[in-house]
Amino acid sequence: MYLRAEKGFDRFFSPEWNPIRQLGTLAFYMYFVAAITGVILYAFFETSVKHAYESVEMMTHDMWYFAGILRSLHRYSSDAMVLAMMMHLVREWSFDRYRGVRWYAWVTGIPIIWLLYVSGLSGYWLVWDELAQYVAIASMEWFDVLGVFGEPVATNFLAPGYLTDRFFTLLVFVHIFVPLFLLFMMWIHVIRVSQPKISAPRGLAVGSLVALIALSLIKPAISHAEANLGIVPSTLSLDWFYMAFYPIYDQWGPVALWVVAVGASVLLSILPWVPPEKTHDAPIVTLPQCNGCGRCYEDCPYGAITMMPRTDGLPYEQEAVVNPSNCTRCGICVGACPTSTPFRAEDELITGIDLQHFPLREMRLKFDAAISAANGGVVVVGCEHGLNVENSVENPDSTVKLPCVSMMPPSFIDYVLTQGAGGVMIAGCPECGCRFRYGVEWMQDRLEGRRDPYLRKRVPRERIKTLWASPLQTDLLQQTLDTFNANLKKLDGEDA
Amino acid sequence: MFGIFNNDNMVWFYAVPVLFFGPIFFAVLWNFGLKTLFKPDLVLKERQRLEREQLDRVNKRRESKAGSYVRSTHPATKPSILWVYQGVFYGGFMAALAVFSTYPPYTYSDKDKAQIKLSISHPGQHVEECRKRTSEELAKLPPNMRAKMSCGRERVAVHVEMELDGKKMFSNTSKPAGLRKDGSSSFYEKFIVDAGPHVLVLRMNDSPDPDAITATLEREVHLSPAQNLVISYREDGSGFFTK
Repeated sequence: MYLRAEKGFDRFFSPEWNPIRQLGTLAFYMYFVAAITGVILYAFFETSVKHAYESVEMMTHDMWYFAGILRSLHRYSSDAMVLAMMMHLVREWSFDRYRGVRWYAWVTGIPIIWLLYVSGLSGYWLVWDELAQYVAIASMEWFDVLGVFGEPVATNFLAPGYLTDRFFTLLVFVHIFVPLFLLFMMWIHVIRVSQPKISAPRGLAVGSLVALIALSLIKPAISHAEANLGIVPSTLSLDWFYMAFYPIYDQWGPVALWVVAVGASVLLSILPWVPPEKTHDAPIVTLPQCNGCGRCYEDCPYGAITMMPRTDGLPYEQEAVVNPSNCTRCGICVGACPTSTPFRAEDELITGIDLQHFPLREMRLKFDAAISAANGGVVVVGCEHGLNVENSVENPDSTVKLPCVSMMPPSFIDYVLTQGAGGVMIAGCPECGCRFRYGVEWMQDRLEGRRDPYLRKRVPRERIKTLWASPLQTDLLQQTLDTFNANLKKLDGEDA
Repeated sequence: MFGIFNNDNMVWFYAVPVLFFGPIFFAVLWNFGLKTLFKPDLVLKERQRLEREQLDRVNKRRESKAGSYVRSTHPATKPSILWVYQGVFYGGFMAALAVFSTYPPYTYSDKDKAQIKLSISHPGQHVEECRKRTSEELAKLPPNMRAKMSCGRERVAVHVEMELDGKKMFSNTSKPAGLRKDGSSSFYEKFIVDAGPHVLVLRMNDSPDPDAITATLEREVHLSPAQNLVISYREDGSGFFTK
């Protein structure tokens, strides 16, 4: 279902601007919108029990054209962050991108959920309306059941006059420091991947901001009646993005909600190991073949390669070292290595960095078989996670399936064409949807001469085709292949 | 309206934060993507140029029959239609935020109901009485700790009961807080009840005698709809009170 949605959205937005492919960056973006609007709003906010509500009302009504819009932006961006975060979680789970080396990002995402909720809910307290009264009291009662405080904190909200400015200021600080800690955890969340995407693409940033501003004008955020601890709020307009748990709390009580919340967190935390991902041995570096150029280091999407001082006495400064606990075994490093060339004798086919379960020698054998089966036609190169090339084309023997298409160095295209194939078609994951983050981008960059190793100039570009498509687009694969074949025939005719 | 908002220099009230924070926010926004909006960097420019070139190649390929090396992902759709679809998505995004940020409303308690909140924090009596130390006991202690009276710190658990119109609503015993059990015993409970007149009875036992009643309150209360009646306990000797 998610794949279908992504495919549809790709058509309307392009993969780069597709919001459901960019949920993580969208969540980051919404955080910054909320943070910036929040800091400006703080300049107009009175941090006292008596005047907090009045100052928010002043912003909402008297200064609707500025502070009022900012208040609405602040609320809606924080709601949108919850939405983006939850969809991000479901997406990564449904695509099985939470096990193996990805456990780190998955597990560090769980405290982010907690911190986001504390950040958002503490913001609602500050308005000090009936909703704030309900949420603050219920939240404190929920924490009080743990018994970690000497006296119940909820007693600060017993009756009119009980809530002091001092305690209210503490709530303000909660709303400042917890979001800062949330930002820190978001940094921890992405720290292990190289080149994390935290800046929303331009189109998505502009589109979502315009949508939020429009919504702020159409339906501005407003407050309930001022809080009154002498009465019980009756009907409330809950923000369901943040407050869906409160009716459960009222029905089941605090202990049951703790069991649900902690149970869900523990369950999510152990999910990457239930069952653990089966993985192959990590890539090996063959030092006599490694000149320490650092291309594998630059291309590794998970920061699994570090460049260390040379240990074998060869006259190079550095050598590549693989950290197996960060490695996804995608093979992108093999594709980046300048020594990964098929133009060698069988016994010399050793590259600087190689996958143990699928070495370069085996890759060339597969290509040789595919070239032979293609019989002058097209060799189709696919990946294990995108389009299933073996089942989608009429001549499955002419296909080669790699862990990631970016494992193929451009020299293999040269090799395939010089060995008699008519063309090469590379069919990988959709753009911005690569299972290994940068496989599609790196391959495209190598082909277009923006990234080492380059495709040699002598290789005829018109005999290469790339197709970045969803695994569901099997028809498109065959259609594109048919068109490509037809074009190649015309080319062959012209050459003749 | 109040305080600072009434002063004559109100323009500065707005201008100062904008002038002070404005450049900071702008710098943050600039680094988080605004610069790519106004001043695309060289890599991005180069990439856009290549993309334009690729698009040209696609069009040329369609016109001339030659096959070419291109990205081929999706069938071409008219740009105007794309804007419409994107508008529909953002409309849906706005609608989802607008609706679920306030709707459906939640009824915490009916309008004809009231709430009684029992909140007591009270230390029980000491478990053991103070007693005078013997001279032998004093001699065993270091010189700086030879207090004549020995008073245990541990307090007894406190028991509280509440009846409303003759029906027992609450009966609980709370242990004293603290590792040495020398803190207060706390009770916190709330009850949604019908508005109107009620007879309220409270009893407490904070003594070591399990059958004793050390404090009571019996009072007729008239609860208004939506009223929040608080029952608590004062340490000044006046005992239970309602507010």
